[in-house]
Amino acid sequence: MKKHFHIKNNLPAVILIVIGIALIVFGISSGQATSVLNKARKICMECIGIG
Amino acid sequence: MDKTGKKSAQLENAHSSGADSARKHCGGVRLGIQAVAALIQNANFKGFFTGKIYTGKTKQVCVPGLNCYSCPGAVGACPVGSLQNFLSGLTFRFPYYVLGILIFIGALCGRIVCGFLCPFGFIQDLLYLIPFYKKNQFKVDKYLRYLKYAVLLILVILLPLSMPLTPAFCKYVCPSGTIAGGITYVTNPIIRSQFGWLFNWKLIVLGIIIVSGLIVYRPFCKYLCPLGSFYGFFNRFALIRMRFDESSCVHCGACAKACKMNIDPSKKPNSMECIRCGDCVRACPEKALHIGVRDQKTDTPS
Repeated sequence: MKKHFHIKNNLPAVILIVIGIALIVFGISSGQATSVLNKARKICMECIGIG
Repeated sequence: MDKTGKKSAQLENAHSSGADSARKHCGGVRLGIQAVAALIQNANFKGFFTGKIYTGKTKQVCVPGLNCYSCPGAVGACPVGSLQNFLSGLTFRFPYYVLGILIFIGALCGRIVCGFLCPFGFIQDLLYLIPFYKKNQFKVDKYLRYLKYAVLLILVILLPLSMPLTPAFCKYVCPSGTIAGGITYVTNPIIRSQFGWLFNWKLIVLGIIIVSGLIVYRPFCKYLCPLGSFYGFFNRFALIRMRFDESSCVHCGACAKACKMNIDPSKKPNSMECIRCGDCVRACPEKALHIGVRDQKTDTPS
C-alpha cells in the first residue's frame, strides 16, 4: 500500500487555510485579538448563568 | 478465496478478541490525548480553588474546542463565546479574527477537534463509559441531527446579531458555561448570591445532557453543538481527513458497526457527523480507511 499526497485533492483545504491565516492576520492588525482578550479576562455573567 | 468467503473470514477476523483488545487500547490512547488537551486548555489550576479566572495574554487566543473562558481554569478564549461577543456588540464588527481561527482549524483538521481536543467531548466520552442503559440508535436520531445547525444559525448568529449584548447560546444552552458557573458557585462566595433562575435553567439543560450522555453517545455533539456543526462543513475538504481506498474495501460492515456516531464510513468517509475518533479505522480488517493528508492506493502489479 502506497500513500500519495496529491495537491489537487487538497487544494480546497490549502486555499481555506490561507484564507484563515489572512483573516487572523487582518483581525489582529485591527485590534480584534485585544477585544477577545478584554472579554475573556472578565467573568462572562451570561455564560455562567447569572445574565 | 472467493469474495463471499473472504468477506466472512474478514468479518470473523474483525470481531476477534485480538481486534477488540487493540481497539480498546487505541481508544484508551485517545482518552489520554483528550485528558491532556483538556488539562492544557484549563491549566490555571489555582483558579479551581480560588474561583478567580485567568487574565493572562494567552486568553486572546481561541481554543479549538468548546471550553468556556469563564471557567476558572481556562487559559484561552472560547471561540463560540468570542464569535457571539463580536456579533452582539453595540457596534457591529465583522469577526475576522475569530472566523479566521475557526476556518483555519476547520480546514486543517475538521472535526478531529471534536474527537481529540474538545474538553466537553471528553466529558461525554467518560459519561458513555459508565455502565448504564444504552440506546445509541433510535428513529428520530437523524432528524435531531439538524438541530445543531439551527443552534448555530439562530442562537450563535441571528439572535446575537438582532439582540445586542445577548450571546444567546452561551446564555441559554452552553453546558461548558454551566460547569464554569458551578465551579464559580462553589468557590466564589461574592458571586454566589447572584445566581438565580437563569442558572437553574442552565442546570436543567446540563442535567438533560448528562443523563442523555449516559444512554446516547455524545448527544451534545450530535444534536446541539454549534462548533461541531461548523467544523462539520470542513470534514470533506480538511487537509487531515478520512482517506478511503474503495478497492481495498470488502464491504464487511465492520466500520459501520464500530461507529458510535452511526455513520457508515465506507459510504460517507467524510460525513459531517464524523468526529474522527478512529474507531472505524481500527475496525477495518483491510486497512481501507485512514486519517491523514495522503491518499492511499493499493499497489497494482504492472
